[in-house]
This record gives sequence, structure tokens and C-alpha cells, in this order.
Amino acid sequence: MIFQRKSPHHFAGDWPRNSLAVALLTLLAVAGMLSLTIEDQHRPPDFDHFVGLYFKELFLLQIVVITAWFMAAIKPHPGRFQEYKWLSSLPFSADKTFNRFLLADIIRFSWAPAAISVFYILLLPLSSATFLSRPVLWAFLTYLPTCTLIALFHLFFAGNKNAHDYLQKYNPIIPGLLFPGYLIINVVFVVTSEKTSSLAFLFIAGAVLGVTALIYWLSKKRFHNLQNQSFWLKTCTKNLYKTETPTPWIVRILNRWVPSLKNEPLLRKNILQSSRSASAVTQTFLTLVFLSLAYLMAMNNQAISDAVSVLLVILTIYFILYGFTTLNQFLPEVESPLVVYALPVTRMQFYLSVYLPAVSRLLLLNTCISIWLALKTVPISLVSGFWLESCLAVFMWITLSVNVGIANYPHVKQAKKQLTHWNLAIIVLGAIFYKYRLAVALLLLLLSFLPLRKLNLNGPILFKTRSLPT
Amino acid sequence: MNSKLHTQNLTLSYGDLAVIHDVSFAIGPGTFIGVVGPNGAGKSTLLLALSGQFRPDSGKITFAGQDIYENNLQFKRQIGFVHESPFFYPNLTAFEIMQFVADAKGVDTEKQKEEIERLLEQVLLIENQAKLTSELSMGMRKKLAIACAFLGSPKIVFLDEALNGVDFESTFHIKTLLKNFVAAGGTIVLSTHVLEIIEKLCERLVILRQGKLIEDWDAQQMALLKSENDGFDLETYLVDKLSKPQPPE
Repeated sequence: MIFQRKSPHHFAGDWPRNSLAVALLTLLAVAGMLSLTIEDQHRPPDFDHFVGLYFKELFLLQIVVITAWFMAAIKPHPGRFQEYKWLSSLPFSADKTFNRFLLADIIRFSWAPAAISVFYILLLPLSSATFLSRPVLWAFLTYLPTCTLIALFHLFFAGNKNAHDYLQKYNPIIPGLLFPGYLIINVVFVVTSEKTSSLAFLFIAGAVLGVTALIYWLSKKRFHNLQNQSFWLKTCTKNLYKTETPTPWIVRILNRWVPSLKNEPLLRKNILQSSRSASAVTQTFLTLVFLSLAYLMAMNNQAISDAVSVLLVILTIYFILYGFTTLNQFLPEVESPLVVYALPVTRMQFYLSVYLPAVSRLLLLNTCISIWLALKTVPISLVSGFWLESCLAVFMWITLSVNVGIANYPHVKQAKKQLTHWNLAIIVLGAIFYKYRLAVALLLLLLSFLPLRKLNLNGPILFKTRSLPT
Repeated sequence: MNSKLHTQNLTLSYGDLAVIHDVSFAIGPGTFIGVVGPNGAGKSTLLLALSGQFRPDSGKITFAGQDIYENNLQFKRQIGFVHESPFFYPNLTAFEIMQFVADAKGVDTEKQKEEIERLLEQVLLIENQAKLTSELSMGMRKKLAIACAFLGSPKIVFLDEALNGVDFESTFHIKTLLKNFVAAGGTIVLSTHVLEIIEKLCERLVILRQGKLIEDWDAQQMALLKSENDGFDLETYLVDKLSKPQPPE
């Protein structure tokens, strides 16, 4: 937060932290500029080795950082609109309000370029500090126009009919396009850094700052024009003027072909949600990132059997993460516990409403990858083994996740904590008793059913004495 | 100076839907005006437009003869606004939030402490002034928002469902605060569904329906209605009035 306890009187807010950030950036800039005078020292001893290692290790980690940044950026921030409404009722100019939001975003996500920089610093044994200060500075420099462009695109393109806007929830398409661009610019810089003279770097850095200033000016102007306009009126009055969302085609088909679905309100609702999220850019983007990551890491192996094994390991990590996101289906924001308690549904129906869409989606993914492997002339025995093992992994992690979710419902935070413990137990015990890893995993999976024994799965979902999550 | 708030042919749309349609009226100083209407009638939108937060598609709003959207910041320094669900920075205490608003409204730094404490006392929040706003209950947050709205000697205070969720003792004290403010020449524009508050406090009543102003009663008309109809009940009257189909344009 920019507005910290001890500094409520101005927009710049938290001075100690801001000053520290400015000091660090200045230090970086100075280090980057140092290469002007010590030109011969700033080159790494073996540039090819440096770039090779970068692509093999750091680049993949940077993709993970970008993905995390994307996931953090697309989270809804309803507090911001409330804040906007409040500031609008006070004598604050549009410029001040916009600066507040932009600065908040820049600080909020500054961990992303910081994490990317840490990975560069890991290459210090291979290079010099002055050489590495350049990509670090570049990561921060290019971060500024990226943040400003998010604002600009939202303010220009997110119209009245769009559900997402700058003040409420980012449209995933915008960061989905900008963040890979940010990554590419940084990769290009690393690859060409040997050929970039210090003077050229100085010129490019100046140009980036100039472009940032231009984007900032355009965004501020647009924000100024939008303030006090009815642009955000839909948000103020959205409860009153909300329109019906048409039923997605997949639900219409399922309704026709699976008549019993009509008696499963939560299952039907969940399929509806899943079909929406399946088409959503967010999920597709995340899946694509993981698939690309899996492909890149798998292709680093010469032996095809090793490549398939690496693919399986990466997909298993994805399934574990997917297990955590499956728990989000139990969040009060997705389905209010008060509504669930009031509905005439059994625990089993609730269980299936979360379990079936998640499992079927991942099985479909597995099948697609297996078909792709088969088309790539991977031996059929290897492909069938991969398909079988990945399907087992899907059943394993999703069952575990939903078991924990149902047992702790409606306390999702607690469920996530418990799921972490289960996952750690499986990984650690699986590693210790590697020879019997499948048996260990199955045993732990069976143990996860134990808490469900106390619950009547065919009975209604009832209030617990513990309070509802706030 | 004529510090009337004038509204002329105010129209505000969301897409094709006219939320406020051709509304005109004037509010003079020292008036307590109530705005009522069914859900979706446009009450909150009207308050947002009148307080300089949403520029109308057409029509004009002037205060003291000046367009409120041309002199927006100057106008906002002279008003207070209480939202239905108030927002506060969670890391600030109740006192610090009031300091923040006082700074924004240009209240003299030396007088801030005194004014803040006086207002916090009036809304019975003085004992909670050192609490973080994240620790305050919804009722307390409403009280804090009301206290903030009266900072900087405003000329008009807009209250959008401001008294919902406030305990009866605080409501009593807030009502006194509102009455004194109006007696001193201030203007209150209150949107609420609680008709008891309207009957007890308001000298003027504006009834909205589907974004149109269908009735505008001054104090005399309200008194006349009561005298002409034995056992006049505002609730029954409004239900009867609003249930009738709207005449075609």
C-alpha cells in the first residue's frame, strides 16, 4: 500500500520504502553506466557459455516469474473501485488519482523484475557485476512501460460493454500480450548485450524512458477525460443493470444429452463455470505456459525416454498446482456457503460438481499430449505408458485435493494448508521409499478419505459450529 | 452569494438505458431534502451526478451559479459525500483517515485536531479514533464516513443510505448533527428507504421512478397532504403511487 500508517498526508506515501527503491535503481544505473568507462571489463569471460546457461536454466525460471506476475495481475481488485469512488467524492484531481493507481501497480508488482534480476545475479560467477547490472537495469526499465501500457490499453480499449476494466479487473488479454513481450525484450537484450556498446545502451535506456513518459502522458490524459464521465457508471449500478449471461454451448449440449444434469444444480453450475474458464484466456495461457515449459525442458534431453519422463514430471507439477486451483471452487466468492447450505444438495453432489469437471479437463489434456507424442513418432509403448501414468497422476492429485476441500469446507485456507502437507508427505515419503512410491502414494490417497468417513456423503451439507470464513 | 444547487434537464444514460431522465429542480441553502424511489429508480446515480462525480450526458448542474463540472475541485471542497459502503485505507486509523480528508479539503492544519475530535465525539467514535479502519465494524465505518463528510465546513452533504447499520444511539446523535447543520444554513441530500427518517427530518421530498422525477414536495405540500388526509401514511401513499403504471410519454 502506498498509504501507510505513518504517512497519510500525501500520495507518495511510504517514503522509506520508496526512497530505498529509488536508491537501488540509482545504484543500478550508476553501475550500468560504469561500463562506459571500463568498457573492456564489462564483458563476460565466455559469452556463449553465459547465454547457453541462461537459456538452459534462467530463461525457464523467468517464464515462471512472468506466469506468476500474470496470475497476480489478473486477480480482481474490487477495493480499487471503492477507493476510486471515495477519491472521486473528495477534491482530488484526476491526475493525482491516476498517479496513485499507477504507482500502486508499479510497487505492487515490482517483485517481478526484482525476481528476474535475482536470476541474473546468479550468473555472477560467470560474468562481472558491471555486465550483469545492465540486464538488471533493463529488467526494471522495461518494467515501467509495461505497467504504464497496461493502464493505457485498459483506458483506451476497455469500453462500457467490457466486463473488465482498469479499476476492477484487468482484461487477461492485455497482460497476456504484454508480459510475453516484456520477456522477449529482455531475452533479446541478453542475447545482444555483448554487441551493445555502452553509448548505445545509454541511448536505448533514454528512449525507453521517453516512451514511458509518452505512454504515461497519454494514459493520464485519457484517465482525466474518463473521470466524472458515465464510463464507470456501470460498475456503480451493475447490480441493477446486470444482464443475463447466455448459456454456453457445452452446457446446452450436456443439458440435452445428460437429462439427470437438471437435477444436479451445483454440477450444472460448475460445468458452466468450467466451460467459461476453459475458454478464458487465463487458463489457456497458463496451460500453454506449462506445456511450453515442459516441451523446452523435455527437449533438452537427447534420449526420447528421458524427454517423456521429464514431460511427465512437469505435468505432474502442473497437476499439483491444478489441485490447488481446484480448491478455489470452494471459495465463498465462487459459490457462497450460505447458498450451498440452503440448497437441497448432498455432499456427494457437491463433491462431484467440483471433481468431475477438473478430472475430465486434465484427462483431455493428457490425451491430447499423448496423441501429439504418438504423431512425433515416439514408440507407442512409451506413449501408452505416459498416458496411463499421467492419468493416474490426475486421479491421484485431484482426488486428494477435492477430498481435502470437502473435508474442510468452507475453510479453503485450511484446506490449502492441509493439501500442502499431503503433497509434501507424498513427495518426501515417495523419495525415501522410491521403489514403492506408487504404493506409498496410493496409501496416502486412501488415508485422505478417512476424514470423509465421518461425514455423511449422501446427507445434506450442514453448518458447522465453526464460523464461516470472512 | 446565491449558493443554490440548480439542476436543469439532467439526463444520464448507461448505454441505451436512461438512468436519469430529464430531471430539473433547485435546492436552496438550509434545506433537508429526501430522495426516495424503488430499487433501480436512479437515486444513487442522481446523488453521484449532483455531487460532481458523474458528468451527465446532457443538462446542467450549477452551484452558486457555476457549473460544478467546470469548477469540479472547487465544488468538491464545499461538499461531503457518504457512500452506501464506505471505503477507507485499512492501514490508517480513524483519526488518520479524518486527517487525510481534512488535508484534501484544505482544512487549516492547526484547526484539524480540534475539528476532527469534535466530529468524532458527535458521532460517538472518539473512543475508537486510534483503531485501524480495518478493525471497525460496518456501523462504525458509516459513522466515520459521516464524520468525514462534515469536515471542512461543507455547504452540502450527500448521504446515500448513510444511516443503515448505525446503532440507535448513534443514529440519534447523527440526526441531531444533521438538524443543526441544516439550521446553520447547510443543505442535506439524503437518499434512503427508511421512510421514518424522511418523515421526521426532511422538509422536502423528491420521488423518483425509473429515472424520472415524478413528485417534488416542499414542506408546505407535505404538511398539506397530512392535513388533507386523516391518518396520512407516507408508506401507503408511496406504495399506492409507485404501483400505478407509468403514463406513456
